[in-house]
Amino acid sequence: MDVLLRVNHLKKYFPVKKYVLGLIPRKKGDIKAVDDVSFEIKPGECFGLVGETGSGKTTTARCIVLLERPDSGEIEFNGKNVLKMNRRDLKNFKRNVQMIFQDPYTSLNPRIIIGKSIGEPLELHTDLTSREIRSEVIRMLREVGLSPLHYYRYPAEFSGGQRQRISIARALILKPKLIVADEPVSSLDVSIKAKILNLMKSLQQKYNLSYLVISHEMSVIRFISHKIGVMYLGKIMEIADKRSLFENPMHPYTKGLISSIPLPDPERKMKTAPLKGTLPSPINPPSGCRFRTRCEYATEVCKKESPQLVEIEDGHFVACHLITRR
Amino acid sequence: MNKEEKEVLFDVRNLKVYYYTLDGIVRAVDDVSLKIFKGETLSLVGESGCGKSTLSLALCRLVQRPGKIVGGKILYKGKEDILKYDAKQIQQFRGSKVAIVFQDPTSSLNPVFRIGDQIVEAITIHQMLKGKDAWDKSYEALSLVKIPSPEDMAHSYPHQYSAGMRQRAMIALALSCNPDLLIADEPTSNLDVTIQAQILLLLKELKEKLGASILLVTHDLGVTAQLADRVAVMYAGKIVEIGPVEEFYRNPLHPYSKALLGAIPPPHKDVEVLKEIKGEVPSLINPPKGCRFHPRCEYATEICTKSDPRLIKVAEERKVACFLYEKGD
Repeated sequence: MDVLLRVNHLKKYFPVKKYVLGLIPRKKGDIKAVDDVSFEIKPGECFGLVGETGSGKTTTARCIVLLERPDSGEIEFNGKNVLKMNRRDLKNFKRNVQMIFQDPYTSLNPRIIIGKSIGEPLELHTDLTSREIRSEVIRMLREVGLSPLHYYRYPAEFSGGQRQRISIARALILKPKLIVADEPVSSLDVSIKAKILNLMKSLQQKYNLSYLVISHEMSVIRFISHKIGVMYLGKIMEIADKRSLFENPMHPYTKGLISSIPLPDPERKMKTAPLKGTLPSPINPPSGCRFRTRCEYATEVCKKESPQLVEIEDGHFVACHLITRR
Repeated sequence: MNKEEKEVLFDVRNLKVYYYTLDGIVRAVDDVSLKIFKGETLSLVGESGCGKSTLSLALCRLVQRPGKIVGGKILYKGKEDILKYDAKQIQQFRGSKVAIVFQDPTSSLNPVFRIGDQIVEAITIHQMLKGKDAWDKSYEALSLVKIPSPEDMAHSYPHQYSAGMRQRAMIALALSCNPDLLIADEPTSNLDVTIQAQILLLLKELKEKLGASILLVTHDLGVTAQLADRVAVMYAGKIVEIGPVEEFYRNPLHPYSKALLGAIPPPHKDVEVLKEIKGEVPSLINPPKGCRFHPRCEYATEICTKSDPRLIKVAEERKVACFLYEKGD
């Protein structure tokens, strides 16, 4: 199997209600959180999704792990459509796809010792004895850089970085094929961030995992991903390998995002703000290309037609009239 | 750039701020001395819990219980010690001499008052302006931070603003009384990169236009590099290194500064493995003896575990607290 996860024309709209006289709900419109998103992840590949707040990255991830039911589109895992799976296949799918959440303070149950939290997936998905589960949990604790002595402690006794290690252990215990990590390091300090990123990368190489990593930080995405998708207002603007995306960004939005990163080098100071304005409302997104209101190259065409993702170079897809019509 | 020519705005001497908690005394700021010059941007860098926010709160005497300023002096313009001000004096001092922009603009603006009302309130108190004059001044402040059509926006409520606009409004509010020092506590860490870039450029432009000093408190070394003139690195309640920004990034001296710069994922090149700093930030209730960084330091020697290094001058305008540099003399 060449492709592990294929997302095809995924759509998720959230209805917005308006209350007439404060009582009778009327549909006002839809927040087009994810609007026709397609991409694929190969085994052992790390796919990074970047974009500003409200671009639909998290909703995409939540649809993939079935925390949200997509309105339309397909999610194929190992060639099978996840949305049409029977119960047994679905259980197998859930075993193979695990998630790491952003906030390690709220994603662990504060009243359960972490050994149990980490071992719970094994209780649900395997028929190991409790002794086998215990030894497996202890092996996993070592794997993520914690000590077996931590088994009987509660989440409150750990720091943010350690908790994120616990979340990683819990996600890895079933030996999944795909890990979906939503902003895994954004609540951590610089020195802890480096450790968690190194850990995630080494585990990925060791177990040949696939990752879907979501972050708003370009530097994090650059460090961990092989392939990157740039999202803006529910649509993917550009998909490319790490190298070609950073060395040869084509979409004006990607260019703006990359040059917005404050470089840790006082000799390379930013002169002008690369992108003006803010994200428009996703209820009433601009017609045609959604980025046109902030794009300095926008023309008449951009207003009328929505650009499609087109492969410009080998594996480098861009949705921009400027490039595809050249 | 002669040091003698620059006017010292704030002179912090041996400041100690402790929090008296049930678990023990948290020495958040422990014997810190620091000068802030007129017209400069000083960036205070460090990880969470190193005392950088407490230090910035102490500069406007906003440390609240269980925290207390227990020792030291904060001299304003070389004469008055603001720690000796009475309640009325400190109220006049805050806002007109120092103003602060907090990290989260959503929770620091009052949701039930219009943006304009909040700016007018500050202007009425500090500048003795009233009615239309005060409102005109507030429009001026909003247009200074590039809020489009300030006459209309001043009459909007905070929830009608986007996150970036709210931060602009906070800056407008802080600058409305022309303070000598603007303290920006993590001004961009809740914002998207694109908005962050806009706010950083705005701060840079305003500093040049108004000539105010900025104390930038941040954990982001990228933001520091873009905005600061000088950098002060804090670790576990102490300043470990201070120096001009170019030299700091070219040649960081303290092992902690080196480690911190090595730990950020570089945005402009690919690396396989990030450098890690071993261990974790120590508890400030019971910090390690001697140099507080020594359990995590790869150069630590015998002396580091016993005595505390002083902040010594190693070059023009550069100071570092580390025994590695004390051996020379």
